[in-house]
Amino acid sequence: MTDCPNAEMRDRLPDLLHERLDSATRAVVTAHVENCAECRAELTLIREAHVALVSGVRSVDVTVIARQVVERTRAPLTTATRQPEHRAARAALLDWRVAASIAVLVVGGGSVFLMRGNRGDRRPPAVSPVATLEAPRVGSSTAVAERPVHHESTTAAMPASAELSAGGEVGDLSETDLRALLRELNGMDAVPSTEPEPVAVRVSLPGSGGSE
Amino acid sequence: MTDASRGGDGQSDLDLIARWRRGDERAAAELVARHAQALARFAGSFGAADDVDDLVQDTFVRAFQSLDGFRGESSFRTWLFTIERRLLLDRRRAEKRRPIRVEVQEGDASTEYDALDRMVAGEAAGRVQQAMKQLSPTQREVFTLRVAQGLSYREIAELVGTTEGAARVHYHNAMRAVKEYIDD
Repeated sequence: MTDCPNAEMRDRLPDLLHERLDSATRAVVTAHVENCAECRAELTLIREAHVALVSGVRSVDVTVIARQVVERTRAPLTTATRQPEHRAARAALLDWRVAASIAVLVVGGGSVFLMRGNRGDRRPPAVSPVATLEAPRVGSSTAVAERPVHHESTTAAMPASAELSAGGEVGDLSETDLRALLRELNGMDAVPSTEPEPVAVRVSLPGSGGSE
Repeated sequence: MTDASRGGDGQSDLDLIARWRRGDERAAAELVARHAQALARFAGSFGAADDVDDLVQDTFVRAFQSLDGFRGESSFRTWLFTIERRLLLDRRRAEKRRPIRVEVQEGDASTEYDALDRMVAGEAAGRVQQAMKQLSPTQREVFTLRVAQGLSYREIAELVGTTEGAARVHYHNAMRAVKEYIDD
């Protein structure tokens, strides 16, 4: 069995068998096959091969397959149809979560801000890290001791009333607190016997001739 | 070339796919009716005999579940063949891994298939079948797709994962080998 030299026609033979040629091309190929022994032999061989390849295949029940395919794919299709609803519900839930988070942040932040504000009222006014304690004058000389003091350690070392007097505005004190403060101040020594504790209080010493 | 993807009602496969996506189950049934026999022949030409119904069904299910992957560059039928071919290869791989237990008895489906095959195919077809056994796997596959399914070289190239030119060469080499076997 020899090959036809017209490769284009040989290429079309399976298409002729499967009727995949348009009418014009089919007419050309058919005319060629009628006049070409090699192509006729090859077309016969292709037919036999086709029969050999498909003969053992039993036909399938298309109706049953269609029904089962539809049943098996129905659930995903329904899911796909419902997908926009799911997406909308999920988006709404997400919106609520974002809104809740923002609300928590706002409320929490506001609370912290208010707490800080309240604490700030009780906190002493900004005090220079250098606390100045003016010692009583000796003659005309003025002894000024300056040493750096950490505010927190200072306040911690002080009694509560001193902390109160040093930390807050005098105007904020109630009548009772003021009286207690004055009593305490009156009980203090004019000149401390030891190295004075750093107290950021300006104390007026009676009889010294000036405010100190 | 004629358009095999258009049914008697004038609706193309793409029309039916669009209807199926909108939830029209009749469109799915129409697509199955249009391509199921071709898929069965395709499976049969690759040696699947016992479970063709299941294979065809699985192919459609897989196809309908992954319609987003169908870009319409090839015909819907070629795409179905591609899916079915992959399923066939997967099954063969699974069978190879499975322990072999051969208990052939009289009346087995395979025995019936061989007998029926020989009876229907005839002597000439039997010779062609013998000739095809001499082909390389790629040649046999291309030859089968071209002769049994009537696919174009372009479709075969897409299916097998090669070029159109390579598919043409494989086909002609296969045809030459079959002729030589028969002439001998």
